[in-house]
Amino acid sequence: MSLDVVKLFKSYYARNTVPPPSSIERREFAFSLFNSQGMFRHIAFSNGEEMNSFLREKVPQHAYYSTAYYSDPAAQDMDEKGWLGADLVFDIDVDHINTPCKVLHDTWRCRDCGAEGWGMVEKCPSCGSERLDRQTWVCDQCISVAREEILKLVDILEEDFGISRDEMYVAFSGHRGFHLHVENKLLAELDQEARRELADYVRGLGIDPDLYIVKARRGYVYRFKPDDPGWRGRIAKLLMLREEAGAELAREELRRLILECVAEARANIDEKVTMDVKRLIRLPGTLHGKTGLKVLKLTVQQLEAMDARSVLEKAIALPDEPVRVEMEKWPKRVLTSVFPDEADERTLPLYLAVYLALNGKARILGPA
Amino acid sequence: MPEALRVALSTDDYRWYPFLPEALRVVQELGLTLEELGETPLGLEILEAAKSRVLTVIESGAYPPPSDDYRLEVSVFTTALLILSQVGDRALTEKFAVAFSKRVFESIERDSSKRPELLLYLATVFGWSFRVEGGGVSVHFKDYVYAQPEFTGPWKLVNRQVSGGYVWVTWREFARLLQTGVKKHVARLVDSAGVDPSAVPERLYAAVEEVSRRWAEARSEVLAYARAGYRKGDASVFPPCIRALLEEIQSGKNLTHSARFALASFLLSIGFSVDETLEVFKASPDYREDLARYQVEHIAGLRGSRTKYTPYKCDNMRSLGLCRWSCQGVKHPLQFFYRAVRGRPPRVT
Ligand SMILES: [Zn+2]
Ligand SMILES: [Zn+2]
Repeated sequence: MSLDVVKLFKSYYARNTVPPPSSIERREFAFSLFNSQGMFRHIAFSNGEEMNSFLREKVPQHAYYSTAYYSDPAAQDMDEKGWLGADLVFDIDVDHINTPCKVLHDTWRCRDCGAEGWGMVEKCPSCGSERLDRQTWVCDQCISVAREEILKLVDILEEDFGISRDEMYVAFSGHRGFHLHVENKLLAELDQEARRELADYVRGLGIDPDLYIVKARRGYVYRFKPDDPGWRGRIAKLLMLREEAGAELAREELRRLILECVAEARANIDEKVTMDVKRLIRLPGTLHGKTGLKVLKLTVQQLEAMDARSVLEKAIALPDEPVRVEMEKWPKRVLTSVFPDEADERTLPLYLAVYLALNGKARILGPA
Repeated sequence: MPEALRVALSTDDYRWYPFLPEALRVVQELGLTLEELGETPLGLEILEAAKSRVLTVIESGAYPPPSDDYRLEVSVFTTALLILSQVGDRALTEKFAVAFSKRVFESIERDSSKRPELLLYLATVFGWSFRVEGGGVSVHFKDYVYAQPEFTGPWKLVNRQVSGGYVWVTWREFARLLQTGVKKHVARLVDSAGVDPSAVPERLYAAVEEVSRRWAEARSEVLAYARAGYRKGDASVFPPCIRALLEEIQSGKNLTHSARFALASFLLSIGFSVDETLEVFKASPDYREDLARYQVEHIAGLRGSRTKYTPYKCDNMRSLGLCRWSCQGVKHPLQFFYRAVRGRPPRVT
């Protein structure tokens, strides 16, 4: 049995209606199709029905929409689209976060010396080469780390920037993380420079510890109290949990402690996404072509009430009938499943088999 | 913005703040038409004064103090904007706006202790949200980042007191934010001062030509120097980040997309032609004439949006991993270059 992903996607779009993004007529859409190279861009829809009939007919592998609003979203030339503003968007992707579970599912192999191993490495530990073949997977622990980052981000946006939860929504990307969208008329006008400053803020980037400390009698102490606003109080709260911060300290020592607290409290976003005012981003409700999972739109309250496992479970959009799957190098942990023992062949629900086949080298042998 | 806030403006304020809506109304009341600018004695006086304002900025980088007659002052100011809009060079508009905002800052500072309501009024004109509290002003973060004079150290948002969407600043800092506000406001006024070129009277057109010529001369001296230096293999007027990119490309390495952008936009900004810039890129192993030309022409503003791209600031270079140096007092690679050309290269650590 060869895997007919297109059929599965087709039946998903036949049975489901994808909710249109806000101001749909101002957005650009882009799709990549199965069995076809490149991206089809500059597509516009005037309403949700048009968008859904497109999805049903074309069955895209990946579907995106613009965070920007344009007066003419279908214009071919970016300069003729007439940029009107863009949602403020944050991206959290565990791709570049070294989660503790990566040793259980990610593998690498050096193209130069042939060394191989588990986990996340930047370069080959035996020869130093950067030419590595990687196989990466996502599991509920990864998503749990990403979820924590999103909640830290929401806290900063609410507390410091006064952005209401009602203006935010979260999307599980269908793969390794979340997007947080802020839809606010005033903030839509922010230029790239301003967005960079906000991105730096939530990342705690550029904090100068010298501005946070003051000379005392025999050393230095932290200047601010836990109930002070912004980073000042955020750092103070974490410092309270550290015994060594109670006393007067050497300047270097205190600086180091502060930066450790910043590293703990910062939201680990990908700043490029936030800075880009013409970004295309995954359309919630569609399927991710590399996983078969649904791009899942959630309110902040919903995300708070769910754990990572239930996020993944809710993102499962394909059938769960059992199939036999064969693969050489199985991850020990993937999505919500655990495979402690080695095996060549397993019986798995179809949605998981599809993920293993799309993202890796699994072969679906047939129904169990 | 509290409704109760009223500020008593005097005609003297119009001299110092000629961009205020009330001041601009004065010119309208004067009823001076575009044609009269080039014909009536008063029109000619205004035109000459406006031209000399812009030329002074080109030569000294400073905006002269206002004249005693507020009507004349406001008219001169608006006519200067008209000239700039006809010249249509973003860099010149920027230079003018910077010089003008520095001069305005002096009066803002003077007024900040005696008439803080005037500062608040300026912020209202710029459309900012703010509230007076805690012995200073809380400014909405959107307006703060818009007017932020620096993106490091004490000005960096992450080092400020930020709460509920507002950034608290002292009155002194508020005055400094307003300076940037003035700069951007003036640049916007120039953008919107567009007049159909066919309606521009002869005399005004002559002034526009003279300004354009002097501006081109002022820039070309600097550029000729840099180009000559580069040809002789002397890149010492270039900042270390750009020098490193040049070395990489000359040693046959492929540059990343952002590195190519940084280098091309820098060279174009200091006056390299598209062909001269392409010449530099030819050493690159993945060089493809058609593609490279397309990209470089795009950056030069000859294609697409026709906006000329300005090179990255030092902050951007750093976050893109293209700079690991620290050049004293420099926030933009072009700054390094202009200083080095004038024989005062910044210290690099
Ligand atoms: Zn190796
Ligand atoms: Zn994991």
